[in-house]
Amino acid sequence: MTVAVRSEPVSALRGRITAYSRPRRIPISAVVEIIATCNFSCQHCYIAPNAAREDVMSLEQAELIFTRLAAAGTLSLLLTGGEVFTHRQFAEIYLAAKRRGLLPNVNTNGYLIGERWADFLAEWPPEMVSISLYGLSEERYRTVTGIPNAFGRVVRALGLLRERGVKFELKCPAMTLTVDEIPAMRDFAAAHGSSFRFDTVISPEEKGSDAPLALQLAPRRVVALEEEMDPGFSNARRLLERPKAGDPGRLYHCGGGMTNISVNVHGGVSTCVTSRQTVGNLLEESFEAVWEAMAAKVERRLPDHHPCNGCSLRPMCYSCPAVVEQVTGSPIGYVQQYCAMTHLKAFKLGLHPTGIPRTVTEGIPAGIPTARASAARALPILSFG
Amino acid sequence: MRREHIRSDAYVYRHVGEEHLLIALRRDRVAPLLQLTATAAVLWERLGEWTPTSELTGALVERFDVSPEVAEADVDEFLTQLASIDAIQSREITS
Repeated sequence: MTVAVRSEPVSALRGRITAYSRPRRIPISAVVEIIATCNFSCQHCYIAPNAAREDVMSLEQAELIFTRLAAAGTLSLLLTGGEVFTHRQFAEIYLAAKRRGLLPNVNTNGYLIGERWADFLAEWPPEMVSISLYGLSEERYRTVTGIPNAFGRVVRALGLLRERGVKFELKCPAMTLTVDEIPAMRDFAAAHGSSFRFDTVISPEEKGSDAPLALQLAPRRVVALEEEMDPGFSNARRLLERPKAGDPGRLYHCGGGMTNISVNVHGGVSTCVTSRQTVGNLLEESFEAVWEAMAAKVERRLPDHHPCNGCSLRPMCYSCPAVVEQVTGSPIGYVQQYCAMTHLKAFKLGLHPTGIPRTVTEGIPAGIPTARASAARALPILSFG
Repeated sequence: MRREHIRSDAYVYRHVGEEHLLIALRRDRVAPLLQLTATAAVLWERLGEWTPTSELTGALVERFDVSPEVAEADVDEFLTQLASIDAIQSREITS
């Protein structure tokens, strides 16, 4: 018999909990949007441009959601927005999560993190503060976010967090407005003691226009950037080498709706923060009812004639049901731009003879939803010359 | 000298998957995330209210196939561990 308190690396513990949770569909990771509005007016944002003042989760609603998530087995929680630090009760909401034994992570643009918030985060540490970086100058920040003098405030926030030992990471959406500074941002992050990541897929507005898609990088630019940032594409190789679990014809092969759950400001539940189609409401229904509805969604299979069915590149594909859903309206849709990005990278890796998807030569099978007209017009024009 | 103990509010206990976790609320703890063995978790449950050392020992003897001497040594060591991470408060029993 051993009666003891032990400490082991969190990564090992997390790996064991994930392995236990996956076959049992336990939502160990959750994203909760506590506010949809933001103090920035970013050109690429999918949520804040259409957000209204009432798109805010109250403390009482957050407490109910956290209680239900904790009871369901959630351990890691990402609080996101909008901009979370504009929420009047952010501190109370954050502490409500901590007191339920959830491990909070925080998404922020960093603008409002002064000494008071830095002290708060140091006293009540999150797992990670994830700060969006939009450039390395005031001018670039103004272009992307519409806010003057923001860069200096973000740099100050990084210093305050670092002084206090609060863990943070920097990230950036790689798009036409930021792509030229991405490599320098990585160096900037390293100089501030932070890791850096970037995302090359831009989503349309949740309730508005497809205009953000015009900021999407063309496939060649995406692959060139990835090669510059990761010569040899070690990340893609790692994804391809991971053991493949489950049914290869299954639509969802990520953790969405399996070990991950996302809750919007009104309690609506989706597979992940990228997906805006909800399957139920955690403020109005039991977790069990919502999770059962989620199962019906994520256990769907790709149609036999779908271009992605059987594709060996799916583990490294830029496309996923959530982004496809955003652009086509259905998770079973198909977006040729994402497919082209993936095939071009596969060509660079020596995994595809031409880098051109077969839908370019053979066409997209009938009955598969494709990008709606406005999205197709906004996305970069494909060229395979 | 008889003593009794209660959990402090420095940690939150969670049973996630097959893990018994102690999650630190504030900074300056030994680690943000600690684990209890399954046996320790039984005692932690008891520590929700002021509990004499003898009751903790008795709980182990009653629930597990262990002698009172071994149980007493295990409980002492466990309480020492918890005290070192500020996870419990202890006091003498006066009456």
